[in-house]
Amino acid sequence: MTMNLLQMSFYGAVLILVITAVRALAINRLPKKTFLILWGIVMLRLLIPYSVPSALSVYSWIGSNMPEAVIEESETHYDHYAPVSPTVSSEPTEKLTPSEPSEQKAQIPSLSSENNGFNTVLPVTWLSGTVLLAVFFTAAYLRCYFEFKTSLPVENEFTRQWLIEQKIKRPLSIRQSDKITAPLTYGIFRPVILMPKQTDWNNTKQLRYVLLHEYVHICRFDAFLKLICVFVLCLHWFNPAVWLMYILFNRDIELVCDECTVKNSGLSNKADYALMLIGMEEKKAGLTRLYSGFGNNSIKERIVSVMKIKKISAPAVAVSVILTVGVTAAFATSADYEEIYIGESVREAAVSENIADPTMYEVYKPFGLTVNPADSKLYYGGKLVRCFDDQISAGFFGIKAIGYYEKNGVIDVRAVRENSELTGLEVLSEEDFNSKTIKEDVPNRDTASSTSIFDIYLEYGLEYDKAQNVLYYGDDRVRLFWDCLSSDSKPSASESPFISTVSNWDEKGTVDLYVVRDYRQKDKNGYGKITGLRIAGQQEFENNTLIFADRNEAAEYGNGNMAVTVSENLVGFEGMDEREGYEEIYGGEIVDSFPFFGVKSGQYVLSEAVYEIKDAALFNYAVNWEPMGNYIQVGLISTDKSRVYSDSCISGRASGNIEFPSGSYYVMVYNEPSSGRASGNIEIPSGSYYVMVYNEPSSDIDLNATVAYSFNK
Amino acid sequence: METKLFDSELKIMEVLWRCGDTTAKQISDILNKEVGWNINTTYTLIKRCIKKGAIERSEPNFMCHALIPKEEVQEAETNELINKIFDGSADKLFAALLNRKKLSAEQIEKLKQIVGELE
Repeated sequence: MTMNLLQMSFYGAVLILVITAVRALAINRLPKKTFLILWGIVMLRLLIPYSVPSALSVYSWIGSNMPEAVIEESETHYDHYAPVSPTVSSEPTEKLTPSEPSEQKAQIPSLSSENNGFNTVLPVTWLSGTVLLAVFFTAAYLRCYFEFKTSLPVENEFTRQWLIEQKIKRPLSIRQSDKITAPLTYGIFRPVILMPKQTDWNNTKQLRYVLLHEYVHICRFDAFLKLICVFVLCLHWFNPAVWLMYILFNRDIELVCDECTVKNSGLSNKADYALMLIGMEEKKAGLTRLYSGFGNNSIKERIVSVMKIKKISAPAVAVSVILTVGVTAAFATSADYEEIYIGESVREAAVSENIADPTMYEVYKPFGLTVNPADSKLYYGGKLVRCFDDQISAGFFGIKAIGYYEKNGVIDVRAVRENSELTGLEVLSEEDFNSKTIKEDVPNRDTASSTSIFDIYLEYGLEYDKAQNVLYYGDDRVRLFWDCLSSDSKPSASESPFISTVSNWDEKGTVDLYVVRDYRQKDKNGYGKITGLRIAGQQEFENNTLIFADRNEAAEYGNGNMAVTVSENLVGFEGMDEREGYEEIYGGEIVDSFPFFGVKSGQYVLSEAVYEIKDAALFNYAVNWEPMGNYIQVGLISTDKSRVYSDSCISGRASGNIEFPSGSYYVMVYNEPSSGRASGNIEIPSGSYYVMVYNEPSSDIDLNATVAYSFNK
Repeated sequence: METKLFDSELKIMEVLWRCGDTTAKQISDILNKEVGWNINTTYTLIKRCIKKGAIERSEPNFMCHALIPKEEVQEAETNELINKIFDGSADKLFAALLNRKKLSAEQIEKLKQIVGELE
């Protein structure tokens, strides 16, 4: 499970304290490398947010001091805040009822008692602490680093010889500086041993020790380890145990180095080495401990340690190994119970076991949420609560939430918070209640697991019965299903095939369903964010009936029922083949068509012919134009130019129906300037009309187009 | 010049004393070969020397000129040595030098000459 920083820090602190205790007791009895490994484990714990559950974990027994567990937000947004209780460890699916209520109360930091500022102050403080510390270390190191750079090389027979003897892959060099008083080493890729100017190059015995000590540091990549420790310290600066680790870790690095050095020059030289340690000045150059100095503030520990170095004995190694493994298992892994408690089984447990712990819901009592002692269920205003949700974002440290679900509940309640402060409770509206999906098995409906395009609507209450190929919304069979993906366009008489929609028409359906989207919040496809489903009102329902009832029937074009007087054929239009492309769009009979081109922005083109329509009819049109992107209006304009019945189109081709009353009309195409689309039913009264095409003023592009049209009843 | 020059800065001065006025770039090239410093290090050191009043910069080309002669530094260092190590008495230093018994006949001759000049 993933952990947050506080948890990692806490676990780390426990581990550090244990290791410190062990170290105090056994430092000289065990190989010192053991402790470096242990510190390494701690640092991993402090850096890696994942953990492995283990029955051996000590945290199973710690219980009440644990920081709140952090739960990831689930997709069904049932988050569970689980109070920590050791009694639950054995039974993962045990109910949430705690066995010791008073302890429980102390353990749960109730959601409402968090400071208002908790969410923003703490992460910011932490971050500034980290940054400050990092800057400090970096600055200190850089200051020293420059001084190292100005060091001078050492020309010496002894050093030359010594360097050759060393088997190290990285290029090693020895330099000297008049600014340091004790030898040190720096550099990870090109290590350098830096000697003070006053080094007595004749005292080869001492030199050997010194160089060997530094060499061991280099070989063990101690500079790098120190860097990691500093990094961990920066992250966990607020944890005193980590500072303790930093100090001890640096000491242990030196101790291990001493141990290696002595071993490599023969155990009998312990005394010499110790004396040398005393003899050498223990000043460190600069505050940083990023380079391994010969000096250390615990010289006594070092000397004692050196004197007590023994041959590694088998028992010591055994103890050391057991200790390492044991400590790792006990501390580095997280509590078994925790993993189970927070994981899936708890979600299920909470979903099916709807036991409300009164103490947990105490904070909501003043707002009207009660726990019925008889059945341990939540009630609000006397009604049985189905879903109860509350959630605070705790910033970097995760999300804390309560989720409660009682299948038979009749209302859904949600906590209202302002700046994470509980201000009230809200009952979800019936609509929202209905549209919230709880994944249940619905009898007789084959809502199979295979995916379909209707899956995204599932959570809002739409069910797709794949077998029957029918859509259901609650108990109703859906007739029209309309989802306009990128803009709010309703079905209308003019259907543009080029708006992205998902739609379905089921004659036998009884409700029309619209998908409500927030077009201000577009997702990555440019589609509006789905906010819910809406049942069409009566008027819309009737309109839709008109529009769609005959959609699946063959469109009837042609003179059919109409009384249309078509006057002379169009003359005087040159250019495009007026029939081009129309059969594709329309597939039906064309009464007439005309091409037009060079229609300037704001201009309109009218048909030569005037059409006298005796009864209200449906104007069926197909228009093809370029440039695509010019908005045009196509439709009818009365001969006195006082009335226009048109549809607005953009994508270069369009077809549709426009209802209009009887009258005389021109067919028109109009080059529109503005964005947006007009849609809807247009009824046209009787009159005389030209068909017109109008190129609206704002677009600068001349319009070339052809419109074809017919009149229908 | 008041402040003491560190070894690294003395190294720069050495180049100037040896080669006369040189450009900073040339100095850095020389030192790169001799002691392995990169160009940034050398330039920073030169700037420090300028700040200490040991080097004078002139354009074009960042030409460097040593403001203090080598002898001055030698004298300062010697005095410091005498004061720090030989209790402020020069003859103790002298005696120490002589005690090293590494003087060749030639060197002794030279010394005699110098002493003679002092008188």
